[in-house]
Amino acid sequence: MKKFLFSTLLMAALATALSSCKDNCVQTVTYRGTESFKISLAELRSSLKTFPAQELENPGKIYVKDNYLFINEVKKGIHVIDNTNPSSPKAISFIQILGNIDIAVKDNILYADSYTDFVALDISNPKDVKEVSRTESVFLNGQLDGLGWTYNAPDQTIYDSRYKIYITTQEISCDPQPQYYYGWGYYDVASYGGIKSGIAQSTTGTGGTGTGVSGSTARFAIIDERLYAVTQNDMKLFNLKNPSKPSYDGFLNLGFGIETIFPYKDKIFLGTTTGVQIWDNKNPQKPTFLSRLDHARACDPVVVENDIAYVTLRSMNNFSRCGPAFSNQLDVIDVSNLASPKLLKSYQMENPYGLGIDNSKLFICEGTKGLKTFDASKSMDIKQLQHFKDMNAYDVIPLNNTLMVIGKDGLYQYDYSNLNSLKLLSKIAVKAIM
Amino acid sequence: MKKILTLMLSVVCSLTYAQEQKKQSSFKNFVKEKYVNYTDFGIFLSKSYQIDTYGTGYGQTVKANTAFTLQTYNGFKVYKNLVVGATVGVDWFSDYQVVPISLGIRVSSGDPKLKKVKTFAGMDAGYGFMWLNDKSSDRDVIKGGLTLSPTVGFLIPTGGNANFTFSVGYKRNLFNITKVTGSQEYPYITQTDYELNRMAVRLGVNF
Repeated sequence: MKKFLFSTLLMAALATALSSCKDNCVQTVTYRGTESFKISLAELRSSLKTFPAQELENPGKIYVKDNYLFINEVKKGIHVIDNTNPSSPKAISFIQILGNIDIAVKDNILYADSYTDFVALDISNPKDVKEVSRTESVFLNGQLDGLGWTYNAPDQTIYDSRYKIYITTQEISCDPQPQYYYGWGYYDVASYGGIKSGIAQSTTGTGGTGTGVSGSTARFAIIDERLYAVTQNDMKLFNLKNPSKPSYDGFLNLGFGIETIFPYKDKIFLGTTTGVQIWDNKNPQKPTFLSRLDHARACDPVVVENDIAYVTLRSMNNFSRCGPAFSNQLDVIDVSNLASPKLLKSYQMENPYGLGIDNSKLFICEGTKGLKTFDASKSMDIKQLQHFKDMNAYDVIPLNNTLMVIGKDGLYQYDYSNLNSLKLLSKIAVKAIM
Repeated sequence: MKKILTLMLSVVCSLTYAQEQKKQSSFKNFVKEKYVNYTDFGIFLSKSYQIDTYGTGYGQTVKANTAFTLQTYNGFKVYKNLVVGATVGVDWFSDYQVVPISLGIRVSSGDPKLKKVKTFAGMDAGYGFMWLNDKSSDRDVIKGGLTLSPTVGFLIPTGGNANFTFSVGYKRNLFNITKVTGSQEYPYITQTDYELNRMAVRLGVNF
């Protein structure tokens, strides 16, 4: 009897256990997706304002003019920094220019893109910047960081998108079925041209005395009285005879995958995703194609000094606009004969973004891997000197012994008078994320 | 967990050592009298159920799932029919294999010397190690977790000193898998908390 009772109880317990034996699996997915938004032309054109200095959030390209340093806040505007003393830069103001990516300055006029428009601003008083001219609807689309925007004429609206971190939590089957991916979580920022930048030294003949210094991967370049703005597939020409009233002079078709422009002597070097193009600019009205040197598809800013061009190729382990190159390297190219550039040597790199050169002092940004300095006095034997690992660097301007490095974590300035031992002068950190 | 294991091992070792001080025969006697082993294999059954993954009202059926398990329990009688020991095993779930290492007790009914069907109950609690699983990349993280296994069953005499065992129980395994894809700067992180609650049916031997 006792046994029977025990067995019955046992069965009852088992039945309970059985009914509760249900798996429970919860999956939390964190990824960066995109979120689209639109801006009307009216909104775009009324948005240009000067604000008090703001903290950096998502810095883009940098540009130097005299004692001023301009840091682009991607698609938001420009931070104006008084850099008279690189050891303690002072933020002066923030110019809100929606859709801004590139900057160029000549005398007191700052030229900037603002989605579709090309604007000229009088910056003689950086705290109260005035719009002096606006060339409307010259750019019809653009791409940065893998995000494209387009202008839709019928409804006078710009369609753009931005990245957003998505976190989703859901109950899933514990015996998982094939994974579903919702967003494009694969983008590699700065791999899309645009953001990264090297330098265009004034010593290389960039423009006249009143022009500033930009990165090698800048898409804007001023040479004398002309501003060249490269887009994905063409070069827009602006006449700056009257600096405050630039006029649009039409465009040249360049093919596709154009990333950067670097003026050198009377030539224009274009970094594209497939190689380097060299254009003759003897007649600024009509640059003519000279030659090209092809390489595997990769993102590749280019800088030139003493007839030697330095190009970095960065491979991506994911699909991106720059294409699937397999190597990360620095190519040194002899361009003394511009009609037929010759590859001299390739050096292995880790993850190169922008680069800069000043008197054979070569600086290469390695993205998350930091910044490297090289002695490039012998092209065939470029020696690495220092490696700063604890920083994120994608853009660099070496100018008068002050090295300005921009990365996702902020702007660093170094004194590079002694190349063997760079001295940190200051850092402007990006706003901490809450 | 490691501490518990170390402690357990040292207890076993010191017991063994203490025995070696005495005569060989008394050690043999001790083992004969006190040592208990349960080794069994079996299946884990899960119940099918519905989930509404996307919150859209369109449910998805999670199919019932069967997994295989193998384990061995070694212990010593500490009081009458109460045995204290440890269990090591492998649980083969479809995507992951868990190696549970647990401390456990076994209680059996009646006089062990009587050759008739008896009942027993057991309880194991420990940590499921994930040693047997590969990572798809260095960025992945595979973390083990709690395992819990209460069981009841019958001891059926074989004729010798051993018993066949047939038992039914519950098995709970927790673990956590983090998979990282995407680029270094913009990873796509999929973190999954597994809570596997299964009904266990096992066959084995006991001596």
